[in-house]
Amino acid sequence: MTHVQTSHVRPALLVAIIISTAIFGISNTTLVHAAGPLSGSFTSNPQFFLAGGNDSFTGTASGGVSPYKFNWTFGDGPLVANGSFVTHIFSVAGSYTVRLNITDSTPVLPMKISVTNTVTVHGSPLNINGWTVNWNITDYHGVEIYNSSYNGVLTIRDALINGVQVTYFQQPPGLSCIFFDDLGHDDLSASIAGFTVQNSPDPLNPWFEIRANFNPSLVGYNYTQFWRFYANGAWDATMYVGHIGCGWNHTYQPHFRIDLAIGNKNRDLMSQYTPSGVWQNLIWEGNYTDNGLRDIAHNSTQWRFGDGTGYYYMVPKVIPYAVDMPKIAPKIYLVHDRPGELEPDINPPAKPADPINFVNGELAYRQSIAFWYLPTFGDHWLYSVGQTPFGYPSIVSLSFYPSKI
Amino acid sequence: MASMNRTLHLLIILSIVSLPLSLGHTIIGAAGTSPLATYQATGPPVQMYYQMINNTSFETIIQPWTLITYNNYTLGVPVASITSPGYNDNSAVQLNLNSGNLTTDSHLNLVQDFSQRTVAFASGLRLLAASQVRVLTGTSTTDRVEISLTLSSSNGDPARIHYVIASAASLPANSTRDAYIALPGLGSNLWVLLDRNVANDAASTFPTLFGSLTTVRDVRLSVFSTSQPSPTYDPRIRYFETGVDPYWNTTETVIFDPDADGVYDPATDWTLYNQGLPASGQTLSNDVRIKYVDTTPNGHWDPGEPIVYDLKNEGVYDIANNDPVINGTAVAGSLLQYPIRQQTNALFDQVELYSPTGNIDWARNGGFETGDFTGWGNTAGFKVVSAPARSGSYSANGTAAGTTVALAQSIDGRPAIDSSVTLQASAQTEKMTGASSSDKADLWLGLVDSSAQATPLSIYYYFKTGPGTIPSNKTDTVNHKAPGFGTLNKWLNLTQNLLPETQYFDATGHTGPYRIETLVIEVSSQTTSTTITNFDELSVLAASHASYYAIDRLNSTYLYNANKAPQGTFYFKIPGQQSVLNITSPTGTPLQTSDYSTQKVEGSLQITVPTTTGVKYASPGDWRIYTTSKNVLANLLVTAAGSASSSSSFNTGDLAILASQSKDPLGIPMAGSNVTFLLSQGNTIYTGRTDGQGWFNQTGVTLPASSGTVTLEAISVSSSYIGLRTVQLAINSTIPWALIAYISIAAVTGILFGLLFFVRRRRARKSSASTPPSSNMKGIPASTTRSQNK
Repeated sequence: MTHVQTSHVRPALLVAIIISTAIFGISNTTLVHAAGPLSGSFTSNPQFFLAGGNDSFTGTASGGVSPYKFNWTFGDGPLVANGSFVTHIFSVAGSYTVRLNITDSTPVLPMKISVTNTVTVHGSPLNINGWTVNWNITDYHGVEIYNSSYNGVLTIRDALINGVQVTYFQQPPGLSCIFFDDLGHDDLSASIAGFTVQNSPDPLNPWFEIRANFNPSLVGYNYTQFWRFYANGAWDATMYVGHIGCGWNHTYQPHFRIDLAIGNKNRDLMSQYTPSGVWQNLIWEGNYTDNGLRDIAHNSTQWRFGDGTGYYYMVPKVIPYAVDMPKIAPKIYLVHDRPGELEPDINPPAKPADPINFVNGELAYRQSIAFWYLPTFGDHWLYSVGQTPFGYPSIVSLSFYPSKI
Repeated sequence: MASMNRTLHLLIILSIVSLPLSLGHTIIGAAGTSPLATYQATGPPVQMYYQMINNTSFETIIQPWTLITYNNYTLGVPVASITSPGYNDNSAVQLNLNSGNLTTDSHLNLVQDFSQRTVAFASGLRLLAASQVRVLTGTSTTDRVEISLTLSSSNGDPARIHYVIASAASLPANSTRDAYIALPGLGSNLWVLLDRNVANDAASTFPTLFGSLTTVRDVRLSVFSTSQPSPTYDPRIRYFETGVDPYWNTTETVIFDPDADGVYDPATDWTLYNQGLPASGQTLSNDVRIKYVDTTPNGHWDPGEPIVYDLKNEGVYDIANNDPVINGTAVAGSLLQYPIRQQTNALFDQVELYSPTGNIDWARNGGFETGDFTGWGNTAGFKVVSAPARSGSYSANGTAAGTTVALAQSIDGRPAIDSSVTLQASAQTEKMTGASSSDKADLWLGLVDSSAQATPLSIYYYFKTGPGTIPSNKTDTVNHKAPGFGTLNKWLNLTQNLLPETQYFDATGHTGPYRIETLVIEVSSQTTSTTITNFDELSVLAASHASYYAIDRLNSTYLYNANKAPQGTFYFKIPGQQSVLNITSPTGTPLQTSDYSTQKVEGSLQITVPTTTGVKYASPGDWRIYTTSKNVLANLLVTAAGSASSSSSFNTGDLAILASQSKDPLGIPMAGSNVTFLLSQGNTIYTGRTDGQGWFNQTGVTLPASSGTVTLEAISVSSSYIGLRTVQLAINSTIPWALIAYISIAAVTGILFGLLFFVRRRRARKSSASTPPSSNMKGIPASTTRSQNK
């Protein structure tokens, strides 16, 4: 989303009209009419800023004498940027005055104009549609959601993507390609306008989402993470996987770790919908692969997590771009809840990362539990360094539908 | 009589203590030609084997089998279908698989899931099936046909036992979770028959896990097939060799030679990469590294498909390796290989799985007599100890210091709670230093109701808590104090039939029947406190007993209940000398003899109600099987002490020996049979076991002190047979009342005669007339009743 700020300069006359959007109280469009020959404006991207995002600003100028010089200040320090296109990271939530100074090349007495706008940078938590969503940019695990509530009831204790396991197969002998891609703070910073909060375009289905695109400095992956929250209490954990990397058949496997809070945490249990058309409670830590069956009475769900009365019903989805590759069923690892149990950020790992290591025979029935969600898909239609992305991304998601929460 | 019977019942019940196999009552009837008594006892649990698979023979449909496909390439073609003929019937199911892309395998699984049924893993679990391999073109380990069972254990570790019907290569290696068993006839294209004792197979292939296995989760009919890579090489793509080397160079022209004649024909051939056209008729060459990207996968090059030179012959267009592009625009990483698809096609029919029911202890290693935690999970905080032990050699010791430790088992089969299910546990708390609600020693069962939501419920039994109280019940949780609650250093024993416990959940709006899914023993303490408790003798027993009926002198009758056989198909074994009287369907309809079969198997009589009968009398409920055998109480004798011969007439207070002999229906003495003697007068009971000759004698029996008729009843109950016999004993008084009566009568008579004589003499004197002699009369002694009622 791009928004425009413009300015026209007439000496001694400057009229500014500021139009603010209603949503989030962000003032994002400023029209400045000037009678002079030099006019300018700037746009910003994304539409809504989140603290920590690498936001972009593009200035344009007309009239006067080109070329123009663009100079920026952002209101959060002495930092000055130059050029018609600049990026800036607001580290702390708040309101900031962004100023673009444009100078033309008129001989002897160049004309100068300034365009300013107040931007709102949102921090944590986001309070929208009954949700209070706490979030945090981590060093390796992308944007983490924690201690988030819906209508005042704590529902999400913790949700993150620990990394993406990329494993190659049928590669020539002697080659070994295994990566455990993290979603690093640095990768988020490298993604221009990649971190934002977005809104539903459909007023009948209101939602908002935190979108975080990870654009690493090294080749190998291109991931976008979405945490979407609906006004009815449902929410989605989604990842887009771009088609880049080296050229053999391989599988992607994002490692989501999710810890929910529903009722008495020590009476948690998880259930799976069976081929016999009944829900079956899961007793032990373990691997519970999607069996393909769905409870159509609950949004066509495969798993559920709750306290025996209230549940989040869950729908896994895997939509690979390479449709000719075998469909690999997603799976859940049910574990006793120990927040520190995370795979180490070692890349490349000696062997494929697998949180099954945290499954060690413990009781997971009426206990404090969490789970890993591991959707997997194969890919091979890839592009490599310097080439244009080919086709659409592959998409994995896990949707959560509340019931009696 | 009624009062006497009540007393007899009480005494009979008392006798149960020493008569473990019998639990029944007796009715003494009237004397005469009718039997004097009947007796009913509860026999040992009978192991029934229910057929658990729904739709065993695929006569019309495939459901409720569920098809799972992976990487199948049979696009648009049904991969699972009904085909004719089947094995000894009209049809079978056919699985037809063509392998898909280049992955480790492709497979089809036709799965019957047992989430809604309880299929116990126990001794005698039996799988039968027929399969015929139609096509098997592959060459690898992952080209095979098999029938497999997924087994669940009580600590969460699953296992799968694969019965391989055909395999293109050697079988996969066994692991701790997968065992592969090649069937006789492996690889045959004829019907291969499978009839396996799964428990025996599992014992040999999963020696570690075997003791933990509880349930069969599913059965799978599977075909596997694996594609092999083949280069996307089209021999019609040729090049014109301008030098002498045997391969293409970037300076050489590439031609498409549609007729593959190897000769350049400008009229039909066209140029794909032009570095100067050859003259007409020039020979064209092949290079297997010239490959195309088969974007419309059909196994040959189509115009427009990119052509590249695979320098390393690695099967991928590798721009890092600078693979030259000959024609078109190739995407880096494109595959330059094509899967050679393999096919596996097989038929399956008559798939039957017989699961044992009737005497299942769902708890595994509940007495910890393995000396370890086989069968248990979540073992942190627990250890097996040899003292104290409630029974056997070991118990489980749980120690909690500022935490909660919980030793658990899962019951994946989720058996329904009915009147046959009993929970048993023993616990001894050695130490509990805390006094808070966090200090506790308990056992809890995780249940699930039968609603669509499968609501989890809990029953807690507390042995001791810190405050001496237990938590209040909640909608989904009911709490109880175990007998002896709160006592330290003493074994507290809990035996609880679980059916009454479920009434609480009925009242809180849940839906029965309720099923058990978890058994947990728990020891807990608050911070700075310690709780130590030992547990032993844990069981969740579901026992379905037979009923034994014995009638005086007549043949005995036995009733076996096949409780809610899932498919109306079952078999079981009874003692070989019983014979079937009758079998009734759940609606009470007597079966025709053609509806079932009997056969002698290893000395037992196996009764089989086949699938066809289950279909014929399709109705949920209990089947009843009545059998009979000869009365096994062969002899019943009473001998006066010191006498060598039996009698039925005794004096009051005589010392007697009661003797019985039990013989099986073939007349072979039965050793170890439980015998009860019952004297109707005095309500005296004697119990014991028969010796090697079938005898049980009770010496020193004092007969009643009052005269009259006494019934002696003897009951013999073994694990196989029952018998009952009575005799009636005449008990005579030892005082000579008859003699006294004779003498008295004689004296009175003498007096009367004397008086008459005196009167007549006086009359004679008066009339001077003579008198004739009088007749001689005798009395009849009291009669005795003798009975040789043997």
